[in-house]
Amino acid sequence: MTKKKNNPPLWTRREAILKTSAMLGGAALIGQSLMLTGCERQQTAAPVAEDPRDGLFSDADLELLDEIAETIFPETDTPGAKVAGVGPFIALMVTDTYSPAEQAVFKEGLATIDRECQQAYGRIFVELSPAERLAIAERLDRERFDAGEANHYFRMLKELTVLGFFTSETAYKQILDYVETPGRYDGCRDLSPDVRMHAGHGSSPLRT
Amino acid sequence: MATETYDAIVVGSGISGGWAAKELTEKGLDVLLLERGKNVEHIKDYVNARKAPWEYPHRGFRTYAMEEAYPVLKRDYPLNEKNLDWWASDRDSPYTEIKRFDWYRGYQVGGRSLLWGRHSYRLGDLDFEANARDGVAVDWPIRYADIAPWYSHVERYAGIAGSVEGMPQYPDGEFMPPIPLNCAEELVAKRVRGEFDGKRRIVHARVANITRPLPGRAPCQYRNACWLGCPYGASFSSQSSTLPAAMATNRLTLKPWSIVTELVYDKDKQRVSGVRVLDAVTETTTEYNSKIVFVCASALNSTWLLMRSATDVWPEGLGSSSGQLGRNLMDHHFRVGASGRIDDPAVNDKYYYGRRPTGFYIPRYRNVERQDRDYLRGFGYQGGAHREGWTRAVRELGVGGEFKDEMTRPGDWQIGATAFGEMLPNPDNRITIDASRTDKWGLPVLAVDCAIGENERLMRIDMMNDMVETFEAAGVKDVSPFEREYAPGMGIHEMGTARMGRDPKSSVLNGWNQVWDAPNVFVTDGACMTSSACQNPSLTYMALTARAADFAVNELKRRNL
Repeated sequence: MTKKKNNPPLWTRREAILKTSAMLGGAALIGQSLMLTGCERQQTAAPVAEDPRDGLFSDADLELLDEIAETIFPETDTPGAKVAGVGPFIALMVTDTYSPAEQAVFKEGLATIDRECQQAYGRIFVELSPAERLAIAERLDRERFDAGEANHYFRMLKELTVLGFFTSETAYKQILDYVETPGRYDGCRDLSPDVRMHAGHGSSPLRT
Repeated sequence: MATETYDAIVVGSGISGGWAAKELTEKGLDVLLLERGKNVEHIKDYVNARKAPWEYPHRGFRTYAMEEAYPVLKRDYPLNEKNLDWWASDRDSPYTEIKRFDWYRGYQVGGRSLLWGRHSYRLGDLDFEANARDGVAVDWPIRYADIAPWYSHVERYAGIAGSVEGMPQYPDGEFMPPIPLNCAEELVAKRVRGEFDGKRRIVHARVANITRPLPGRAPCQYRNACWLGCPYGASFSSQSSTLPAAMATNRLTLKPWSIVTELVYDKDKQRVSGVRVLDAVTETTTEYNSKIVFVCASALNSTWLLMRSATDVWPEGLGSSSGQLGRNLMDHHFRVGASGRIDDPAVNDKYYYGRRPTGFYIPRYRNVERQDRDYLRGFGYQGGAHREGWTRAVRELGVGGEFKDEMTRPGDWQIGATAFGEMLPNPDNRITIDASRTDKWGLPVLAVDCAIGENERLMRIDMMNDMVETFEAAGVKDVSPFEREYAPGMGIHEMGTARMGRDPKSSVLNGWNQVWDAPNVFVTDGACMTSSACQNPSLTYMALTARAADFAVNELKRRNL
């Protein structure tokens, strides 16, 4: 038994999930009812959307998700969220893993973002310049940060962006230190600037 | 059609059943190994072992549909997208929870040996003498000296990586080189050792992951994907270790999809003559005969099988004459400990390479030299240190390119540990048959009634505070305790319900794991445990199984069975 966090193996296995929850912003990963007992969900059947287009989101929504994700994690010297396929991933996760209540918060949040953009700039999010998008995203991130652990829609967006980005093929191959079969363990290596961030098998907290 | 006859039948192919099959076939017996679930062939059936992490549509997380289908499994980490196929279906195999009890099962060839955490610790005389010393339950019928050679036997074959520590309460064994600690763990370990006079000690976890080759098995490749099936056979499972040995004898017959519905008891001979098997797919019934039967179906399932057997003689089943069958259910209580941050020039510019399948262990130190706490027994810790990764990006304030680039760099060193505590045997913690419900195959289900008691609650206070104290003494910064809800079963260390003892009036099994009421039946999995100790128990099942198999074969030779 050994606990899982982002990369390293180190915590005891069960520890992992809750620890990870804490890391993913202080509460359970939204949509993952990991803390159980007495909080069974109401919905009877889950929509499953291998293709997010079959789910809750329109093409315009998907475009918006892509652009928000790219604003949170844009291309720099390394690829950004759009190239990593984060927009469709967010749609899939909201569709397949969120409760109806969480889905409603999320969907309403997307509408709120465009409303705020209209108020501030007279245009919707995807019509803004990169600098304008960043200003909006910074404001919303501050808002969700100050809101603490509440299910703020921007926390959902950010959490799924971070998760979708760092568990993407793009990140594994171009950003993280991921070797399918390391073959050895070195517990005391120099952290020089060219050393990439360690990627667990799955970097997802569910290390199995 | 004539009934097939074997020398021995083994029920269950997990850690205990795999060992029974290996030992009995190697000693010349023709063995029928019955597994209730599907076959899983070594390497060939490890379908996700080489799958890239990004290839899972939900990246390993659970969906709504999965939660619907697995109302028990979803209570903790086992419900996930990566190896769900190896966790038993809650719908097909329901049970009744008089109190909440989390029962996470693995119904396939290899059982939970494909899923276990692989920590492998010996019990010592501190543990085997505990019940007698404390006047709790009944005395173990064995002492450390009885089992020590068998621990060595199984350690050598299974391959346990670990360090020799020379602590009496933490008996040493036959180890391969340990899986290394990283430099942050080494730093804290050195300080802890100094601060607590060597009594509290952070040591390499002892795990069934080999670090030197064994026949047919390559050493650990540091992929940390054991639970997908190890294609190198580096992680111990029935598939990688015991079943190949049994098959090599040409004396093993393995039948998956075979649910043993009862042991067939012969009143005149006062022996079991064989087993009745329900084919899980075709639902046809077959009987097989044998001289001896090893029941290794996992603690609750083994006892459930005894409860269904010989009911014409004992209404509550084979082994119930003591009144103890089904009682004294135990687990390890855990989910309490502490974590903190390491900020030290010795390690701030250090990192690691490779994915270890484990971390560190802190052997029990409470109530060791004398009973001096307000609770009985003790606990150990499992933990590890690592540098925080990208998940911190959610918690922290920030968006945009600079923030992203910062989040692609390793974060601070973190260290944490979770305690695993001993749970006292209590006759009121028990399983019974719930005749009002049946499973998919028409068997009346088990009802579980189990809770931790005052001793465990008192112990949990130390389990939390001690870890804070230990980390702070070692200079760990921002140490914070945690305690999360624990329900029995979550430890996935079910033990007891058919305990070993010295007297047929107060125990189900004798000192050789024989059912007092049917000496050709051996129960050698977790069901047999007389107390739980605080160490992960699987190694003890391996050793008890090998010991019982040796005894059984000798008894057969002497025509005593």
